[in-house]
Amino acid sequence: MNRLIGIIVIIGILASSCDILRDDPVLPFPEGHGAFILNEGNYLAGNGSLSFYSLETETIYDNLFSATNDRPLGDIPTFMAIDGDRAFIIVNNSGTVEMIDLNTMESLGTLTGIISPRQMVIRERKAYVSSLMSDLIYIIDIDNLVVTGTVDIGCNSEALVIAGNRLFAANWSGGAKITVVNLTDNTVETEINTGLEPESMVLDRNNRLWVLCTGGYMNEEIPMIMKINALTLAVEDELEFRTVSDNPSSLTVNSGGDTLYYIDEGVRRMTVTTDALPENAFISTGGRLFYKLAASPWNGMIMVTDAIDWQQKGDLLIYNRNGSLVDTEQCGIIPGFVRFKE
Amino acid sequence: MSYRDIIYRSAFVQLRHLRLVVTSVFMCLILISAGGQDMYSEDTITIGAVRVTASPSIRHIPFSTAGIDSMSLSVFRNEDLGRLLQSSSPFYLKETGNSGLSSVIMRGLSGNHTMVLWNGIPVTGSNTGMADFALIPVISASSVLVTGGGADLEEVSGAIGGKIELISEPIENNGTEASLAASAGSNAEYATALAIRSGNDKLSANLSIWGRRSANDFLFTNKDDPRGPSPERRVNASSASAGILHDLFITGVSSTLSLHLWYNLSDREIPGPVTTFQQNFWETQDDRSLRSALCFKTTAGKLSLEINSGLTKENNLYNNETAGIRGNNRSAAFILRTGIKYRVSDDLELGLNLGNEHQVAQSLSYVERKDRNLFSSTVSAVYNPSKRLRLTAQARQILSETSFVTPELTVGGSYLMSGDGSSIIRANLSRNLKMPTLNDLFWNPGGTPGLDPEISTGAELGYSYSAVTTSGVRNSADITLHSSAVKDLIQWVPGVYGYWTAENIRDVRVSGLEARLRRRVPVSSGTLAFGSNYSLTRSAVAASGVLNDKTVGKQLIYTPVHHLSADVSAIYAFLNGGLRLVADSRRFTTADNSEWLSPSFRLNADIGAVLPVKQASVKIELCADNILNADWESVRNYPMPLRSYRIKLILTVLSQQKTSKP
Repeated sequence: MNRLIGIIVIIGILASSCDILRDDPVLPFPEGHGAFILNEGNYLAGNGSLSFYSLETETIYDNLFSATNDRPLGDIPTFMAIDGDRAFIIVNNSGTVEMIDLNTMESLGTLTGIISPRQMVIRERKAYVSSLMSDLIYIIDIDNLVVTGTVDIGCNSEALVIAGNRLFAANWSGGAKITVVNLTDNTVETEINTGLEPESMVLDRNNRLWVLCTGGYMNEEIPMIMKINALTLAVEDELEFRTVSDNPSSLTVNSGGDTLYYIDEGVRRMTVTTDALPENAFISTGGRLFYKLAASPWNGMIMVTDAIDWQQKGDLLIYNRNGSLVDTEQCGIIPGFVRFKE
Repeated sequence: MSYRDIIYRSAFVQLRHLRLVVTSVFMCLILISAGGQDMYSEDTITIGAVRVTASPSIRHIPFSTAGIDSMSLSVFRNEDLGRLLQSSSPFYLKETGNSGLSSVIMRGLSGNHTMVLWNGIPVTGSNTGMADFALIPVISASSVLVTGGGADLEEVSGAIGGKIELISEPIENNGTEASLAASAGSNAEYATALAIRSGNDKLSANLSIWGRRSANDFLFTNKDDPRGPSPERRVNASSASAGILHDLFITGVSSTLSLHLWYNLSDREIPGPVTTFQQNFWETQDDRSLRSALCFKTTAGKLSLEINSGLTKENNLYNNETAGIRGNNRSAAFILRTGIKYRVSDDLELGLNLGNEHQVAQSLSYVERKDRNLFSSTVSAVYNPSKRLRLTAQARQILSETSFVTPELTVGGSYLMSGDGSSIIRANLSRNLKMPTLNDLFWNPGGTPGLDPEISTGAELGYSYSAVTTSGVRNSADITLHSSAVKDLIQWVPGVYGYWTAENIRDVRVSGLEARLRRRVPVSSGTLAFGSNYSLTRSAVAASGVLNDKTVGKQLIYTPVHHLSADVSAIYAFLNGGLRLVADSRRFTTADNSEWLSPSFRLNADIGAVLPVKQASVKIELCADNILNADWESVRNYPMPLRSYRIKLILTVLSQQKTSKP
């Protein structure tokens, strides 16, 4: 019996020592819910970075990509898409797409040769990438990280939305239309005229496409939010802002698809059933310069970035569902796009 | 654009300027032949009287003005002004890549706070307020004066960082001097320059023609490549430039009239920053500039009069194939400035300067052509209460369009500590300003027409030593302490309308020290020279109008706290050689000082020989830049060349000299 106990103890020690020797990866940030923040960095400076705000520790973790991969992320990271345990980071001015392990932040590959990539949507094993300085939508095999094709839409593109078998591409920079691509054969199906410079675009739970048009970089037109039926492609509503000098941006939708948020002298909120823009801000700026906005899937939490003067580290502002500021964290230079990790 | 196109365009000056060029060359040839005729006449000329009109020494003034020494001017003769100042002054050169946009940071303030004058007229573009030092060849001037700070109120308007003056001068002795220089170096760099100076007591002329091109495809290490550090060649970085400059001097008994013409052209490819992979955005920039100046100086009894007039036209063509942008930025300035000085007594001189500068600019980003008129008057007094003490007071009032701006005032003095003038202390208190640029006012969108001038209030205290020992050793030292508060600094910041706007947004506190040391020792059959320039600059944000601004107390970007340049050179018989180093402490690249470029240290060397052949000489020189092969950047992500080599050949011909000048 004693021998048996001894054997069990020895086996136990060996097992535990094996466990001690196992090479557990050290994660650069805590597990659990949180938000990735892409810090764009200064134009041409190549100092874009990736931060993570942990809801568990209420702390921000900076420079995740460069610390893990011993090189900078690149110049102007603008968008991040998640597919399982992988993430794809669009680095606009470097012309790259970085594929990383979502937990370890390790680079799994770098796709190059894309002209000014901006945003990405994933459908099945393909990703579609918009371009600010070319007329192409790039089609990418996300398993092998290669460009497998392009769709020439005849204009530059920014925001992308997939609804059913259609890809909607907003012609933001100097444009005034949305190009509809049939994903069956990757051809342009039609175009929908919009207000000047459709900057952001989301799909609600009723399959309606909401498009925020800024009215132009030079304030040429009164900005508007358009409501488009994604099935019939009919424009169902056009909600105009107050004056040409209004500067709305960053239209987003909550995870339930029933509430819209956008930046306009603060953060404004409206339901998808409304037929008028809200008169008052839901969250006031408090003198800050709001840059990007994201509506979290957690209890109405809102995150807003403040790039300050774009030449120093900015802030991430976290508000509760009532619009009260609950936390402020310093991020990298020009914090912009926010992607939640559920 | 191919190299062939660039060379073709550089070599053949555009037709619309051909008349000017032909006229200049023709006038110069006439003068050279006139000088040549004189050359073979009698050796000795009898003159009735000699009037000597000496300007006060640049050391016996209350400002920290220093001339670049002739040896440095000679070494950098075929290079650009930026490279000269980087090695021969205490000021930092910010270069956006090799041969790219270059500006000089003076007194901790950005390049558009540095004024550049050529024969009394500003050559800083009125739209940007900046001069591109990569486009100003050293050969464009006979001498270069550098003044730190904006305390001197002599010009129509000021620049609070400092002033760099390029001055053309006639040949010192009667006769003709011609030099032809050619060089070839690494990265397919070729340069050539022809300079002819000729004249006599009454008439003299200079003609300079130069050209340079470089493939600029140097090797560098891309440390940010996702595949790991890799050696790469720079792409889309070629440059080509050419220019012609003509000076004409007519000298009377008590007056001088001079005419100066300068046409410069440059075609440059603009390489992209190296962030991950080296990209080529197919950007190019072509610059054309035409500058002319007419200067008249005369003295009659107690009165002296100086009139400077000039016209400058700058044209910048920017092309970005990828973004489909074709910018055409034009600016021009018409300057007329008169200065009258009246010697009331041996101890007191009063002065009045009246000046007008009419600026015009047009750009793709302007709604329409914009112009601005600046009229200014400066009254000054120089009083010598004793033989050693000189007190100076200046007051300037600028009228911008129809509005008076804040009056400017400088009071200062200089004191000869020794009777021979070898040691001088000088000091001044000043409030001076810099007007907003036309881009700050009218760029669309974002320009703000109601911007206030930037105002600097500060003080300087300096010590200057210069002496020659009986054994011929020449020593000089200049040390200046400065401190100033700059209010209403104009910066472009993101506004609520989605674009950046120019605003008087921050106050800056600048303080520091500038030092220059030179020692030249004659040795048997030669000379040994040592020089060094050092600046300590603390330039930090003191107050800010930006909410939650984390930059207060932080050093301004691209302003090194320490900048050092030093050189050792030797001439022995027909041989010469030198070593030059430039070192900068780290330069912050973000306004909150969270990121920076590492300290840099570059060492250059040259060795040469001068072979006399009758009245001519042939100089052969081998140069090696960055001999320690240091990886360095002046602007983030714009790598600079590793070690590179150059060979220079300079043929100089001197005519028979005469001794008519005292």
